[in-house]
Amino acid sequence: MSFDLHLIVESLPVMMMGLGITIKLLIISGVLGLVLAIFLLLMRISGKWYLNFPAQMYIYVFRGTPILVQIFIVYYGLPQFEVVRDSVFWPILREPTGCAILALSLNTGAYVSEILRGGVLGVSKGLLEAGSALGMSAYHKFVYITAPIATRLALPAYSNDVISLLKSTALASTITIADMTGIARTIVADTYAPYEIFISLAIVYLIFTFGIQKLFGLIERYLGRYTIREQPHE
Amino acid sequence: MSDFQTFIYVRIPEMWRLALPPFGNHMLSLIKDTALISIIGLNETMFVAKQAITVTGEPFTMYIVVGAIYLGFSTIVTLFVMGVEKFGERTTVGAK
Repeated sequence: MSFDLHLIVESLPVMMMGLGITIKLLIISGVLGLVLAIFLLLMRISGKWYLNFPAQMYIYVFRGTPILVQIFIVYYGLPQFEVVRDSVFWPILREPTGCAILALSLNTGAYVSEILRGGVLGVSKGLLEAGSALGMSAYHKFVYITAPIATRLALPAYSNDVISLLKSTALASTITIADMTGIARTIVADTYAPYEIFISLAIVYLIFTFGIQKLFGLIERYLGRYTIREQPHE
Repeated sequence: MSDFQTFIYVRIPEMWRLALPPFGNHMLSLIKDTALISIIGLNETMFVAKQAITVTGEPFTMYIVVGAIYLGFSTIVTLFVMGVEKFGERTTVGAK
């Protein structure tokens, strides 16, 4: 079998038309997931069992089941019910894009809240005691001490999660969305050239991932600009 | 001790305890990724569920069942890894 370079050159621009949808899925579900994650985090660290327990159950369920199953439950499963079809959410749930965004947000929210919790637990107690000594309220301590430090601590793990969210968006192609993967699958069905198409698709995702990594590296450097390094890593 | 002996008697007993929690997490994500194989048409849980849906016409019920199966699976793995972790720490209790 020959490797058709011409086909790659021809199909790359076509696949790039799906880049917009991939970015849209990534950014919208990333932001919604982050908001959800912060809510779950606040529930978990509230210290009240009736808030902590539901959040823990939610995280357990969404981390214990495959994202593909979650996408299918939302897209194929929910319309089974009359109530869902009559509800105000139907315009969103009727569209595959809406379903993909919903499923990805719910999934990434569960993962990110655990990452954020790791960050919050990493804030040293002494700082909070110092805050109490200065007479700061619990709210002030959280906003001015815990949140900035926890953000810095959680960032490396969070960037990993954004990258895995990017890769999860490829699953949106299974519910008929024409993202990069969806377009690639259509081209493969037309040309019977899976090697060329999927390898070039993989390279596009690779470049994308590299970009995200670099971006988070910059943010990490920016947030860590006041921290003193005991041992310079460079 | 020779290099080989230090590896077998020192490194490995220390190493597997440290590596166990991330390994457990990785097992969990591997289990969940098996669901993706249905896309290329292997006859696994997800694929069977799809076939069942064409008969029953109840996608929600079927996919919830698939989710529950995976959840059960990951729970068992989590409990198993926790058990092994506990076993690994039986001699280090109190030494922390």
